[in-house]
Amino acid sequence: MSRIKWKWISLVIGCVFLIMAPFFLSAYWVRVLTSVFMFAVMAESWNILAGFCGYPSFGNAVFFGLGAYTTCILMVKLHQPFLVGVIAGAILCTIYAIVLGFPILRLKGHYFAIATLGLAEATKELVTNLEKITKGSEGISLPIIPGDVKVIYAAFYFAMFGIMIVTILFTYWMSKRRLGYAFQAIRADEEAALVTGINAAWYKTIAWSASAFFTGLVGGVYAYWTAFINPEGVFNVGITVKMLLMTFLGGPGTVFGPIVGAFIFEFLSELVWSHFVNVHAAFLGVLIVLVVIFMPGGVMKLMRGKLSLSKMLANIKENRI
Amino acid sequence: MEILLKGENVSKYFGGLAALSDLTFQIEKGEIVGLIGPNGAGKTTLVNVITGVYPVSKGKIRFREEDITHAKPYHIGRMGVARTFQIVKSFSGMTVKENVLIGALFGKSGMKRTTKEALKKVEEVLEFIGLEKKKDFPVEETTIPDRKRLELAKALAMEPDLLFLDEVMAGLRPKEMEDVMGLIKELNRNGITILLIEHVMKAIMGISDRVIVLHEGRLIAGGTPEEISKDEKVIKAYLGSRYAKSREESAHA
Amino acid sequence: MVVLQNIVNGLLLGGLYAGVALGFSLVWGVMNVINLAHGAFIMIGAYVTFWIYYFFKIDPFITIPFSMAFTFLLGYLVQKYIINLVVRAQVFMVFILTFGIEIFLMNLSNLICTADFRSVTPSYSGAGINLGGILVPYIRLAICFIALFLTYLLNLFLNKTKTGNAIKATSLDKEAAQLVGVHIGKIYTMTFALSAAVAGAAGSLIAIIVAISPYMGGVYTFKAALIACLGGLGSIPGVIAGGLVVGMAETMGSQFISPGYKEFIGFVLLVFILIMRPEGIMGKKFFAVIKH
Repeated sequence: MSRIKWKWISLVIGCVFLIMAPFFLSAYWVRVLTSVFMFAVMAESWNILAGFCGYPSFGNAVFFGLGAYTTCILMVKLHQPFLVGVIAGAILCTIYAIVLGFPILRLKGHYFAIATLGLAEATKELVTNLEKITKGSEGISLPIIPGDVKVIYAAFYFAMFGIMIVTILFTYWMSKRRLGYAFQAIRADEEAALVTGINAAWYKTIAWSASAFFTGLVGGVYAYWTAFINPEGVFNVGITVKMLLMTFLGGPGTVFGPIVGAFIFEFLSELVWSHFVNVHAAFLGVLIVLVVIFMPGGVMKLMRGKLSLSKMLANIKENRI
Repeated sequence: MEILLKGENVSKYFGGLAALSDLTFQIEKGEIVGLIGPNGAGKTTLVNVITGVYPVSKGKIRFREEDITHAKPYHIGRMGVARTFQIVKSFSGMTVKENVLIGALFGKSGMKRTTKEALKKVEEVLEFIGLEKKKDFPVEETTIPDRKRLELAKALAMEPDLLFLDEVMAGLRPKEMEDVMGLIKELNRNGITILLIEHVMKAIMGISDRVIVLHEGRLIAGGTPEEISKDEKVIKAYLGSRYAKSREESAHA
Repeated sequence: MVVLQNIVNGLLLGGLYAGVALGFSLVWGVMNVINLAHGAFIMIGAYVTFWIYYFFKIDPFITIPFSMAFTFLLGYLVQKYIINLVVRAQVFMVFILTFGIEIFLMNLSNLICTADFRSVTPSYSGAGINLGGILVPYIRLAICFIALFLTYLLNLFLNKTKTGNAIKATSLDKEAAQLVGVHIGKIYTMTFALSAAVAGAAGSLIAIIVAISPYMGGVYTFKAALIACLGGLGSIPGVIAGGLVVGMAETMGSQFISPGYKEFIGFVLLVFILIMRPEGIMGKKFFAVIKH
């Protein structure tokens, strides 16, 4: 009982701290945290389909890109307000996931992963080719917002923070209800789930759509935040890699795993590797390899038991040939 | 008597192989029907075809008044048809309680229940089956006999009208077998119609009202347990034609 | 005439693509490992050829054995000391592992070689035979021939040598192979090393006709996946068939639809094939089953 209590208390303290943060942290750290929130949302929403449902999408960056581009196009070409752009982007992503889910969600395991990878590449190509609308590989610039830089950064900080809270609440709510159990059953044994009365196709589509929605939201906010996007930047497979890594680092299939993973990863990134800028990206790869070998259950699983070296080595014993 | 399940000329082909040929059968409400036959006869295939796991190649299947020939497995499950798998398919990564919860949340009345109500149903089923004490065990930490019971519990949580049991007696000791037989009889008394696939003759003959026999995808016999045990075709199929011949000869001697 | 030229181009490209996909299909068929780092080995082979050409001005075709040796060694080490540590885990975890290896190799290469595009342009670059109006460039012809020859050699190896037979046995039934004395760990290492070597050769060939960069791998991994799925996992004739189909589709698509939609066409093809006939053109059904 007291363990759970501590969990909630530390969560509340954390939230309070984060809400006060823009008022006393430097602009640099506000930016870092905003980025953490953004990736936390993406990791958490990736986790809905991958961790809970067992369908690892290797192309979720496609929704980030679509959200970003929709927002930009609506704001620049159609002179719509920011909010309209972002929400339209998120809705477009949801529809994209529903429509493409028809053929793609039928595929199992890696076939699904490969197909989503192809989807991201194909969509990137499509966006680049529709030059008249998207300005192709040049990219789109958004108008700079007039006013105090600090206030603007704080606004985006809270926007991302807010979306992160909503995503966490959604995931938590879902995990305790029929929806969450359907997802987990599908992950465990799809055939048994079907026979028990679970309409797997329906639930998989919901999972991917939710994933798409939240990712699209932050994509839209990101576009306005950085004021410039191009296809290579927003449809980048590196974004998907980060989502994946953060989820695995923190613990797939848990509510807080991806969030924890996002924080750990981004802070490691900033603190250690900003000194070794060039090696940074290569370290990403090494980290993935290490996590898979030693702690495939992520930090959350490690926290449930006791942190021990022997446990990590035991993983290797089980899995080596 | 109300006819719960009806199959007309059901066939299932895997490429050139006819796993099921032209089967016509029916199950009445309240019955316990035994399904026997040598290995490879098509017993599990029949259940897979009825529950929608395999598509039917030819023929029609009806559950109550509805044509379920091309229905999806989840639809059939929600109509009140549940089954166990020969090799148990537990939901890994979840506890015993959660496994049964899935059945309660998605079975016949599942979709209308809240999680709280479903959990009550889960308690009932766990007590009935005897897994109460292990309800918070992760399913990976349960023994094989417990998993077999869990398999049954999952199916029961769906509140089925028709239950297919696929070789639930396999590997049980005589005492355990008697317990399960008693369980099945009680389920039947509570209103569940049951189709039992078994190799263990004592179990089949002991509790079935009726037995049907499958051999190489065809129904070769059907009747009371008495009739079946004396049927020449059945003996030939199970024990071989030489045994049947020697029985014939010794009968005439 | 245009159509004929495109068919020829497509076939020549298809031969190269068969070489690209060969190792990938083999690894998947034998070990059930989907090697996302495959493109990285292709990229490394390409760079070996580039650097040798750059420093020693040696004809790129002659550098092929060197790049193969280098990638063979690299593949050997990667499999033995990294992948073999997790290969019995859930298939998806290995998938992610290879993803991590790809990221590492790509970025390491970026650090060493920088992101600039490089090319290898030997003196005979533009020349070719003219067959009644259809131009068949010498280079493309040689590349296609070499790729197919390597495929033939690998096929020979698998069928005629003891190790090759052991590899085939492992792909058909791992447990049965173990029972007759095959050391699975060593076979996995050898298979992966061979796969990397062929990938390296393909990379060398690619370096002769396109500009290379550290991030070129991803596209080829996807192509390899597409071809492997199309042709049937672990099936060498399937790889050739799949390679030709993709080569043709790309060339025709480029010419008659639009050159900018290559990935798109590949993607549509892939999804179509995976849904309609997951075992591929030549594959046997059980190779397409994902073992957990």
